Amino acid sequence: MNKVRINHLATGIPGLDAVLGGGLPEFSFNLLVGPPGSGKTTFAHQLMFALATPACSALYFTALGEPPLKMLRYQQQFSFFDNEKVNRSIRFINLGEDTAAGDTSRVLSRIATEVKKYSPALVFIDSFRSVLLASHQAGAAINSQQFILELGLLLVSWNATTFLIGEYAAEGDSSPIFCVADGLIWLRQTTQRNSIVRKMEIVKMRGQATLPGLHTFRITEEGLKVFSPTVLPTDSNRQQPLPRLSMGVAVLDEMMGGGLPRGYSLLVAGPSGSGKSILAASFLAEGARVGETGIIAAFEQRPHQARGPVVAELIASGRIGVIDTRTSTLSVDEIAMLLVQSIQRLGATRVVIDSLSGFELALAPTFREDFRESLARMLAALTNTGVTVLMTSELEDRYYELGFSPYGTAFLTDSIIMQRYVEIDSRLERVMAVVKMRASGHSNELRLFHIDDSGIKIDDRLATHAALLTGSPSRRHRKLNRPIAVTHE
Amino acid sequence: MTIVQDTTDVGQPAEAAVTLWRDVWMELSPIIGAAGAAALYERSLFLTIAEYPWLKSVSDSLESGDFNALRRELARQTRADATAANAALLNALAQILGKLIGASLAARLLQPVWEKHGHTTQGSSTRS
Repeated sequence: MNKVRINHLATGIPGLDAVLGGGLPEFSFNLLVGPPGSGKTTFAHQLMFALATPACSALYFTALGEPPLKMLRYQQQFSFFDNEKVNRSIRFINLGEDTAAGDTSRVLSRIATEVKKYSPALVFIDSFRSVLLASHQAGAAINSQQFILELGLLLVSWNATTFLIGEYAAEGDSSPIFCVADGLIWLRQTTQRNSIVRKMEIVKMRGQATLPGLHTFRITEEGLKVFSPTVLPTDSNRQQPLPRLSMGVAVLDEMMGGGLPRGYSLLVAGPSGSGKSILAASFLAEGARVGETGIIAAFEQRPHQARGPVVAELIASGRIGVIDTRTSTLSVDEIAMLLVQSIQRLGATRVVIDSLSGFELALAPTFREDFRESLARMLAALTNTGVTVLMTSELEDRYYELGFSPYGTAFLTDSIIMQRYVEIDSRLERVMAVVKMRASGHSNELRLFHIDDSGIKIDDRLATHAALLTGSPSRRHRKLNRPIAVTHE
Repeated sequence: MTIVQDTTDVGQPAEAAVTLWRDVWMELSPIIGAAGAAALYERSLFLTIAEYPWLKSVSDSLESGDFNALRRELARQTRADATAANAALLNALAQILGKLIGASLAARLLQPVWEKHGHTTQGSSTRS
């Protein structure tokens, strides 16, 4: 016996199909709910304009909520609104008077009449909550569930994919009618400090596995864009052992046991001005030299200015892509999506995030709590594809402790390079060490380094001094005879 | 957008005007609601009264979707005055609607009426 196959519609809302688990099931009866201003009407319009054609027409019923004239006025501001479709593949029908009468059977009958007249493939009712509230106010003894059930039966029998739009203030605002629907989509917006973050949850979508949890979305002049968690194909052709990438500083490559393994994440931690961004620039410039493309996600410095003329030139020539953002309303998933799009567009293999502190500041406050978790997910997704990621982390020099990241992100990364200041002979000198290199031998030397016009130059080990990490080393009186040790994790 | 009325076959201007307004009503009220359509009509009257003060009595006796008051008043005027006043009223409506939802969408919504009554629209639309 042939089983029914449910056809899935591409919603036209970027990211939504992935969150829905493969698109919108055809003939489904859905509720789209959320507080005022959460983007319900825009969601519905964007979907409708994407899907409606003369052969697959749409009816958009308006009822007592936003005046239709205003709705048409404001929705036209979005690029998806196509005047040519109005009265051709899309019809707007106002249920104001039927709703105001407070009689749901009249509303139902009007909807039935219009549906029979136009045989739409898509039906939207904005808002069904107004219909129910008007009936309650009119003292009609109606059963909301019954009304929704009858509406559902009518529209399914006419093979219409349906969205009922309604204002519900809070999650706890549950209603028995939610049980009747095939799909339930909640839109929310939260305000914390000066940032507003929009989130979407697919509470249910019958017959398919949706991505669980809250998914951030943004509304721009192009409409909604949903940021689903980064899921990238794993690089199955990963060579073993992993090829090593040069950092563009030969001595440092040696200290790292031959360079940074491809697909690794590297944290470069150090105080302000220690040379983290310059090392990151060297990593990208070296990549460009050997024909690789890189990306900088810059959250603080001006990416064109701070990294020297070589990188500026590579940016100008498109060999290095830049994601430059200093807003404070981003989510990790949104940044991940920006990164992934750039990686795919440019075919990039080296990614720099400069810096984690700026990255955290760019996030909306509400996401900072989940920072580590989201970052771990993003790093895993990126490095699994074979992209190599370098992140910088700004640390205050605390000489009484050895920390690498204020977020506990150090354990997330495959490798760590530490930079510190030390005072020697009344000079502030820089030292660098390779602290961690997963599954690889590496030097345990603490090497002096300096920065000149051509970049980072690694100098000698300061064998004549002890207690470098205290920041004020003392001169040794006895020469060290121990050979350079190489540890292996 | 400017409505140019074809005056070659107006017949009784008052009757023709009411038929036309009822068609406007039929096109607009299902989309923007009876209240929305009535508000546009009222505002159109308000704007046209400056030029045709005798329309004041129409706005004083408005009934939604019923253009009897307009018919009565137009019938009292000369043929030329009635035709001109009605054209001004239609223009006002098209202007207001165009300001709200854009000339292009406004023209699209009213197109069936103009086609039926042999009117043309002039002017450029802001969105196509």
